[in-house]
Amino acid sequence: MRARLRLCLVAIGAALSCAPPPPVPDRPTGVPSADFAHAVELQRQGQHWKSVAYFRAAAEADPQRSLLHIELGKALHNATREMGFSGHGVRFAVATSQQRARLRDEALAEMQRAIDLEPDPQQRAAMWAIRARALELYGYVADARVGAGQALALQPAGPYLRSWVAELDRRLRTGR
Amino acid sequence: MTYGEEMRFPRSSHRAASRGTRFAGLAVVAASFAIAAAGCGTSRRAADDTLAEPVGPRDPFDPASAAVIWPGASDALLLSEPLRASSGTFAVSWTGEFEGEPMPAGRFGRPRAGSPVVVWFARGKRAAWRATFAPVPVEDGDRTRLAASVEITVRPLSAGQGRARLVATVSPDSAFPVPATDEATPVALAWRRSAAGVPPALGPASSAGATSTLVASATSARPARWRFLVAGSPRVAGRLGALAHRSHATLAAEVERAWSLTLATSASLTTGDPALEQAVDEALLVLVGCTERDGGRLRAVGNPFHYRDTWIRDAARQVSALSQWGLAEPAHAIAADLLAFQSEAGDLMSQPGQLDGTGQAMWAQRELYSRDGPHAPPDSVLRALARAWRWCEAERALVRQLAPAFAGLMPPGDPRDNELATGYLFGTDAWTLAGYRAAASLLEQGGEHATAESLRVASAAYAAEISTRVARGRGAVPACWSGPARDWGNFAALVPTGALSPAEAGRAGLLSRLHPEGAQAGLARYGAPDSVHLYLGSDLAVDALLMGRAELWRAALRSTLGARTATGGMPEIFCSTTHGYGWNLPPHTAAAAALLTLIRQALVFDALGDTLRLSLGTLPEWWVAGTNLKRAPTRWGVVDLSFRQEGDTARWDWTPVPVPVEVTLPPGMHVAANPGGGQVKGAHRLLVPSGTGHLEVTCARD
Repeated sequence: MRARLRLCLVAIGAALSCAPPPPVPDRPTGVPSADFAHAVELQRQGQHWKSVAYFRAAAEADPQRSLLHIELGKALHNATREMGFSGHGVRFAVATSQQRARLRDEALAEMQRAIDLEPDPQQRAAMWAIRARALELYGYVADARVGAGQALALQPAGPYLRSWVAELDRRLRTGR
Repeated sequence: MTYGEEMRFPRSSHRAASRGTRFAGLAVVAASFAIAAAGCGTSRRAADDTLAEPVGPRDPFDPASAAVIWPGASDALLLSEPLRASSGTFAVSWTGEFEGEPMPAGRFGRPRAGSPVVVWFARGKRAAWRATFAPVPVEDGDRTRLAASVEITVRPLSAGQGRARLVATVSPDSAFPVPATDEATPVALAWRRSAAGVPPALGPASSAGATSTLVASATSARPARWRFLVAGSPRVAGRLGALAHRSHATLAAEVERAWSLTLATSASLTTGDPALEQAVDEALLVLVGCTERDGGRLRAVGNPFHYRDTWIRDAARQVSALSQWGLAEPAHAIAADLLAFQSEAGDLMSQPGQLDGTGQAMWAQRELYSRDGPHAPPDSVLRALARAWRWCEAERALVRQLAPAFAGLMPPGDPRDNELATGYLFGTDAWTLAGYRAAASLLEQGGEHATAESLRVASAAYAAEISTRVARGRGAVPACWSGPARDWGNFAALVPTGALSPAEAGRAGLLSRLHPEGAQAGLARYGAPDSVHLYLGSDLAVDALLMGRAELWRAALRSTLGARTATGGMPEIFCSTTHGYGWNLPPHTAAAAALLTLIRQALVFDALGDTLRLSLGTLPEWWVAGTNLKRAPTRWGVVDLSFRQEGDTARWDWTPVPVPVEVTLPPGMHVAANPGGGQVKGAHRLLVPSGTGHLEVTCARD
């Protein structure tokens, strides 16, 4: 497990280094560390929708690793919001609202899976916060408050979490 | 007739091309010859057609436009003036002159009522110019793509011969943004195949560049005539050559036949007003045409151009209007596709923050299945409805726990359009309640009695909560419970959601939001006073019928009919001073659905309650000619209705239904004698028992 985590970290490190990144292959390679590195590279380029296949391949190859599921969840979430030029206009990278709704649903499921797999309370708090933020952006304010509360319960001293929960409470109390 | 100078090429060119060639452009050139040859031998009648004025209303908008659409097609062509067909990535434009007179400005319309073909016609001093655009569906795996067969004619208006010159240009286009899909890739902007790829349009001559100049002689007996094929998307470009072997007339006749078959089983209306009947046909074309096929699925799109995506807000109304007018097949397919939005949690949301989507999708199922005969919806639909309800209950429970001041309501939404505010939105609750009631009814129909009973109990408590809050706010029905917002979901408080009673809606004064007079009387404004909205106020116009304010409904109908393009498309919103709609191009599906609902519910009202209401809203002229509505699906069976006034006698005939029927007299008339035996309700309405199918009333002027 630790060796695979190291591989992931090495892959992220490589992706973040100054050297020009290797070209991303057309499809996932089946090697989790390579696919994860390619996914991160695409993410850096803002190509979230394209990165999903690589994050997914990495998560499927190592299904018990929470990090891979939370990253896949984030990529799916980002893909629902990614914009790009199409023809001569700005459009969603994922063209239909049906597809985007499915991606939203899958993003939340992958984030929940990551939470369920993650043993470390601090990491789990971060994952709850990520999922709650996604819920907030999708417009589920009450569910976001529940998720943020879970994060706060695991990390009660976190100043950001405290102020965010207070803000969500204010929104719910006032509706504004 | 003359087809341009290219007619002189020998037909053997076809054979040369069909054997294959080393020249990349030759296949396209050969197809062009086929195009040129296709109309040879066209009759004298066809020559006469070149002077036929288009059928359709005067386009009140600036600029004038028309849409070439086809059911299930994943692309569309926007036609505009000067004559131009836009695909969103490329456009073909045409200019020309006849004996020194430039091609004049023209107008759009249809060649005949009930046709999906678009015509553009321009009459100058020396010649009449006419272009017809026939939508041509092209099957492409699981998808349907669009091409257009275009014929342009120039007919001299005096005796003698003249020379017509036509210039056709392919250019980049950004008339509307296209979805981010494979077909959005750049195309070869030329008339000839090159290393850049296949040209997106074929004409009677190919040129090396983007402009093709065509010259032909024309007489009144033999007008100049050119044929083009335009791809709706670059994906279809390679298929144009095959289409070129079929004549324009054949393709146009095929789509007219196909569309007429689509309408064959729908409700049909005759009122003695062909323009109104055409408006109904064209609104149905918009509703069925604003869909995308993907294998066995059909996806609703709000608009063929810039709103080419699904909003549950619009699609639910699309399902409702299609089911009201008997187009059950597309209604079923769209309703099924709406359920595909359901999340694991149970909600249905097309756009982030639009929490009214769950209730709307539930309501749409009932709009469909309650008019679809006695059989229950499939188990998959019932399960989806129950899951959706449970999600709403869980959300409302969270609000009770986290925000007691708003207990009983759905959580705050952030729709990012329409209300343009975040907060506890009235529309979310009204639609959620409508969804609860729809689910209760369908689950009962499906034998799920216990769940249906739970839903009825929950609905009653929810309705009471909404009424209490309205009463606490001195009867006002705000767009947002928690602060200012633009009017939107609150306009659906009575029809169609039934969240409030007619009395509550009356006390709220919602009808005062409809413009009282002028060209846009009966319509609502959105935001700015000169921003006229073409469906925002349509529910209120139907409310007006229930509240005895039929004059507002009549005004809304007249204003709506007057705000259509020449091919029946309505924008979502337009400026009453400039008559422009900006980039919010027509046609919009919710506007088409609003028109159809405005007419259908006025004639045969089944939107709310347990009484079938007939002739609730009518125009005086409909009684003179006599009105027939055939095959109208209702919650109590398919109904045929006819009514007429002769002298002081008003007569109705309708298909008997198992519920009481309320009949409304002609405008401005009251009951003088009631030999038919109905129970008089006020001066203008009668209630007759279930099973009745005929009524005659002697009436007198108010």
